Amino acid sequence: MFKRIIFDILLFISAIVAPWWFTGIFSIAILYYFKNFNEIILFGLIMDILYGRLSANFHWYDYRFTFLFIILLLTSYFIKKRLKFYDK
Amino acid sequence: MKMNYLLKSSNFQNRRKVVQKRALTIFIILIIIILILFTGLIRRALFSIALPAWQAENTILNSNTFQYFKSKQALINDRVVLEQKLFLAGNLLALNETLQTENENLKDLLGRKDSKQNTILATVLVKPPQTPYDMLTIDIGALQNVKIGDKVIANANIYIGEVSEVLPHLAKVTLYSTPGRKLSVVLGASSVTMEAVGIGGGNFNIFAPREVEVKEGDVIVIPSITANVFGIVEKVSYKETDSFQTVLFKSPVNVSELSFVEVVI
Repeated sequence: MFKRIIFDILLFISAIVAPWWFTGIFSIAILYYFKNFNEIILFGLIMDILYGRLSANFHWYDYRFTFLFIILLLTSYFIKKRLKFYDK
Repeated sequence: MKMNYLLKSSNFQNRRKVVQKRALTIFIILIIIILILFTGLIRRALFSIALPAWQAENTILNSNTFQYFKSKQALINDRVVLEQKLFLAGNLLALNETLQTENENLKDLLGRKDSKQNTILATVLVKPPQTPYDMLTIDIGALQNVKIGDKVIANANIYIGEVSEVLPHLAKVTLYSTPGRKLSVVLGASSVTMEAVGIGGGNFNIFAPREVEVKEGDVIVIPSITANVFGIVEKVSYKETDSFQTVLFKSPVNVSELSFVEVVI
């Protein structure tokens, strides 16, 4: 649990100061490391709020990080189940 | 003895617990998402955490500390790039001066004086490539009278975008080059007003009739009483059979290298 909180803080710092692609790669690594890293969706939303343009009209491209992280999370569930070497 | 019923599986109970745990996590995340989206308080708290971090990052990156660690080759490369930029800047400056003189003369002839715009200097805190959005975050906000829709200029007279979100201490600027964004511009020497469409990264597209005379290097301006440069034509392409031509142009400002901008209030 303690390790997870540390990684949450690191990801938050990365979302604020690092380039978006770095945060993307870092979150993929964390998704692999932890079993159910569901809070990744929140980080997507945080990045959309900090950098994006949230308008009254809902456009998917204004929430591109949220959608990206949801897709990554769902893909990770799917892939982890099928990986032989992954400790389920 | 033969069994005709299934044993209660502990595996089934474990799986149920896991499902319940997952459902609970997703439920909590959903509640937090709703709180973030629909309450300004959390958004403001988020920006108040990010603002000092961005300011510190900006100070560190703009300081000369890292110059001591640069290799000789990197410095030579930097010099070559800077020389090229200086050459381009010289060209732009000459063009700017000519246009400005011509503009002032014409306005004098027509009895219209150039009204000086009120601008505030702002530091760029976040810019591409830190963000994939064509947006900037600047360090002035509602407390400095910045409003949504205020125009933002860089390098003294180049329009780059408009303020789209304002918080007390910072504001977000949506660049004109945001994909899909449309804007009226005046094309080159022909002075034809056309609609430019942003395609990201400071680039724009114009679909113009073939009759409109435009060539590489032509200046594109925003219709305004004050002299300005909006872009420089990079490429003009068309097929012999087409009645339209595609004009690709680029803003002379490299957004990823911007440190300061001015907000017209």
